[in-house]
Amino acid sequence: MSVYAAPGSHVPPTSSLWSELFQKEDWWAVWIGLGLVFTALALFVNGSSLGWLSVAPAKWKALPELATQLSANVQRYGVLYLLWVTLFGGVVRLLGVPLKHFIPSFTFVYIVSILIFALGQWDQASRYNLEPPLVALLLGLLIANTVRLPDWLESGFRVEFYIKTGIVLLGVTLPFTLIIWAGPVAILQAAIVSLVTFGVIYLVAKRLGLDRRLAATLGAGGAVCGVSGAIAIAGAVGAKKEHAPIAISLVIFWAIVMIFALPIVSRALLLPTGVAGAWIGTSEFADAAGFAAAQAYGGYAGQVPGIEGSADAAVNAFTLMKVIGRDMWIGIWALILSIVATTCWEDTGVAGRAKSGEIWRRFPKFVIGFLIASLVITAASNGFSFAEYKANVVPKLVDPVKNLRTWAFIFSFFSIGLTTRFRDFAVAGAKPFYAFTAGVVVNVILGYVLSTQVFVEFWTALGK
Amino acid sequence: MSADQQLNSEERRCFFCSHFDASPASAERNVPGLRVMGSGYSSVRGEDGSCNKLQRYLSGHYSCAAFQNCAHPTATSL
Repeated sequence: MSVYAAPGSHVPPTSSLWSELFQKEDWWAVWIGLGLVFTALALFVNGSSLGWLSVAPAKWKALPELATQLSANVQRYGVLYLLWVTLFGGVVRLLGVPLKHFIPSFTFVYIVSILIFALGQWDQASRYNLEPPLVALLLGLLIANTVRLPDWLESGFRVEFYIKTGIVLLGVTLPFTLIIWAGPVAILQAAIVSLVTFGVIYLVAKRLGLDRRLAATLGAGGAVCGVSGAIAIAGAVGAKKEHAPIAISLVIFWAIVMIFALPIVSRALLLPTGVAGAWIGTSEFADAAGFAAAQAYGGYAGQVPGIEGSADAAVNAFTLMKVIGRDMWIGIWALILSIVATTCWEDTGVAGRAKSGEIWRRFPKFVIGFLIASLVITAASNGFSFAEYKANVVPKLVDPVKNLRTWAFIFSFFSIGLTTRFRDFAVAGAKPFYAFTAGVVVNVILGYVLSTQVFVEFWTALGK
Repeated sequence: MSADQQLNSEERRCFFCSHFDASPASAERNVPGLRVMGSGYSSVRGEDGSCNKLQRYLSGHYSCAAFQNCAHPTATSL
């Protein structure tokens, strides 16, 4: 049964806190992610492991070697496919998407993701910049902008759903103690950059004569959480229908530029992985785009001489900056701007004031799953010595979940490319472009200074 | 007094108006780019939707003089 009214219907969905547990993608990412984490933990406690299921391509040097390992594991890849298509398919079916559309679409995503994952395991991949996130994105962009895919095929290109599920799984590799230790610094750095970026975009937009509500929508897109920030603030302030698409077009344009630019510049400067991850977390505009950039940079660890830090440090620092430092606060931004819009800005014919419950209603719930996953694994690992942790917990518990996370991320990165059809985007116009770009310039410079100068010791230590 | 005027302020908000469309599928269809790095089914959207009367994208907690009560859903739970 579909939860939502048919497209075009004016009948709203139910709106209780309980019903939201099964109506929002965020909560489903929590259920799926934590379900996998607890399953992995239960198997580990009973002396087994999720390792057989969470198959992933191994390092290879020559194509025959790759072909041999793929054919040897074909059954495992088949079972993993069944797991993903059941979990994701079940959810999108509940959300109203026909399975006859989702299954062929997801099958396409899964098969190409195997090839992308395998390419990234080539021992020469980093030499040719064939990092899986970048390859997935470029390949998706190429397909979406050269081939006219049928609309129904997009049913399986669920960028946000995959990335949110991946973020919950990411909690397993980020110790809760680290979140407690690093969280305050991440929040401080993110707050500085978010407030300055929002202020710059808003003031430049106002100076250029743009509507205040468009200025705020653009500002939130650049300062808080990209597309999600833009759509949330557009609703909170009651923007014109064309405002959100304008802001979203600009967010996507700059987010894609930054996916490539930030890792390239960071590599040229030989930034430690933790420092680069913090910079990406400060200056990328969307979660999925930022994870693509951070994971790509993490792939240079141990491959590119001069880049210090672990591969995980880039993703960990990015997560702390973006998810903990910026995403979590969207509800507060929405509440404040809603109050400002209804009390200080020009009348639009609508009335009513947001209540404090708006903060929770808009809270990105997948963050809860991420924190629970981190807490659970940290507690479960507590009784082990470091040697036991490395010898038993990592290979039998952490690595299998990490592999599942990598799959979810690749699905998301490939889906970004597949859904980015430039011809379909709203034309932003010169003034919104100038305003948003002013914020981008300030954001990137300020993010660089904070990550590489002010808090550099902190982010470098995170990588070690 | 019309039936709409007998409703209290909570029942007269945009979320229950026939001009208002909060469907995630509609949001993804009508807001170009929303699906690329966002989602119509995301928590951050809260109760937001499109008003086809005022041509605005706004939160369901707002209200206005053009309110028209829609038929309330009866079968939208799981």
